[in-house]
Amino acid sequence: MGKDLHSRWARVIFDEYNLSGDSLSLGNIGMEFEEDGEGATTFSDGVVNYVCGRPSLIADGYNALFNPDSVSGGDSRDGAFTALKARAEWLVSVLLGEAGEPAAGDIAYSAPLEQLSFQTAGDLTIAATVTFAGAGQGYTLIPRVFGKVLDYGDLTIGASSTYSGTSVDNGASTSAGATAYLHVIAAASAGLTIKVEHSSDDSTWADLLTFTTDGSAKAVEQKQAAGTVDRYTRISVANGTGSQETITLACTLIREQ
Amino acid sequence: MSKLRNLDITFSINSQDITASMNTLNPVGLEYEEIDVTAFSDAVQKVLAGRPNAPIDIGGPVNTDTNQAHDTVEPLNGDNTAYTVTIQFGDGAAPTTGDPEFEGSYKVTMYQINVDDMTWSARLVPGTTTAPAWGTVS
Repeated sequence: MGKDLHSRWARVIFDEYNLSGDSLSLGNIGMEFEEDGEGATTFSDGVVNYVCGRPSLIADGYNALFNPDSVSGGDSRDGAFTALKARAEWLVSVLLGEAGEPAAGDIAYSAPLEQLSFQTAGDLTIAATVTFAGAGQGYTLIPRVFGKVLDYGDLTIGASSTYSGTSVDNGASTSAGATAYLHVIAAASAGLTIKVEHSSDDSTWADLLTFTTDGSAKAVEQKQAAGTVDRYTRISVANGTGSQETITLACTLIREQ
Repeated sequence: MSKLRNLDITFSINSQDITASMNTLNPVGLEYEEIDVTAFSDAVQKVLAGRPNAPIDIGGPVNTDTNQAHDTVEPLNGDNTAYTVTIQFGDGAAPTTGDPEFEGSYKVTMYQINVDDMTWSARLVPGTTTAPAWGTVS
């Protein structure tokens, strides 16, 4: 609780690639809004005053080990070189664990980012620098990038049963919808039903949104829900098969204000 | 008269004191537009003080406690709503009646977290036509 955050517990996920093990630095992440002061200030105003304009993403730049590892199947532990050299548009989530691995309720940053460069420096330890700008064209950018972790890590779901994640308390409901991001880092062997649920009392739950991906392949998905989002939210993973399934995932939820 | 120390500063936005998650507060006050009105016959350069501006940059260690900076400031980012910001400067102790105070209405236009050192920062800009002002704690 409080100030127990350290980069040691930050996890960086690009689509289905968990690159935390190669991450060296990430810099600033956030959002800023155009400041229209000149256009909003009139003769009689006592101070320059502003109107918030269009938002833009803050993603200073990412430095990682120039790791050429490539692993087929299983979890996506491909190295940063293998993962980043090929793509130009990402759904990126940064999970900020508190004195431990990220868990439900921890701070999350999720945003679509357009990759502008991939360069390496031939220093003592070869590292790759990746820069970003703006939002990827293929995704929806909402004017908010910080939310909460719903779940992270390996989930094992018994045959014909449902895993319900730890509920995340927002303190109050919100009314402007929400966007969820799902990263399937290591796939299950059969189809699952992955949802985000919400509740007003942390007891009776209803579906907020259902991801299209069934977890049977590495994937990333952004899914939106409109309207009221109740005070409590959690992830739900249902296994309708006759055998136990294990999936590695990260899921975040951003409430729009 | 005491020398003031930052230990005794308090900062609140939207009626929420977030001092416990701040270690950066700069600048505090008004800066006026400088307009050169010097004429040929003037022996020295003359300046007219125009309209003031009063942006503030704030920051500190990321604190996930309820009602601290991340919980309080991040949701206000970009919502185009002016919130009361009150900064009080205690004189060798917690702020009390008569101590310096700067107060005004502000909008939040930027919020970010630096993942490498787990600090947050935000930018506040005047949000109404009335200038923030210096006064004293009442």
